[in-house]
Amino acid sequence: MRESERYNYTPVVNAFGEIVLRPGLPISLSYRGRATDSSGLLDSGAEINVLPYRLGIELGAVWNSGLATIRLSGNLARFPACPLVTSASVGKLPEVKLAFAWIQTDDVPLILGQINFFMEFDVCFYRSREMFEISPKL
Amino acid sequence: MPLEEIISTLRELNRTDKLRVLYILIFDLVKEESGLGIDESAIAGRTFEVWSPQASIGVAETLLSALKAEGGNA
Repeated sequence: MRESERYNYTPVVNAFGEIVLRPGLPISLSYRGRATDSSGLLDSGAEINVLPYRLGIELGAVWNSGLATIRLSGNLARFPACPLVTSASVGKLPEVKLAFAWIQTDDVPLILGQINFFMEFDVCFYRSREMFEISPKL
Repeated sequence: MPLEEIISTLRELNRTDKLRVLYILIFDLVKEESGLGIDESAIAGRTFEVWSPQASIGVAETLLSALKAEGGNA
């Protein structure tokens, strides 16, 4: 039987003070022997994964202006970003490597997008039941 | 409708609808107690940023190359 994990949507307060539900996934990231736990926003509309600056620092990554520069669009376009590859584990599922655009701002959540989170995991959203199910790719 | 009847009716709801009622009531309380009413004049002219990133051309390839260099599945 295929391994999978189920999680409930997380209630959060939005900019209007409304309580809304978001698919926040508990995830553990590790990089060169250091690890940090966080909650990633499952964003199937995002083209890439995005790592807030603070989390990269917690992982011991060093911002190096010599790294390849990534230019995002939209409201994230004004912040420099560079590629950072970490190991990631979700619950008891096998560990994978995730490539992030490590962005020099904390005004953004940890975003799990198409490249490459959704290349590694299959996710079924059951919004009406306020839960989602995640399993490794086939 | 007496409160007892309302509570009895609410208890018959499924989990999703119970949570919906809960959120509505909590939101009402937050609005009442913080004065955070949502009206058009409060949001007119304000900018609300959307996080979801659309990468520029070449970004996907850059990330996939980095992943490949680290031994991941690109």
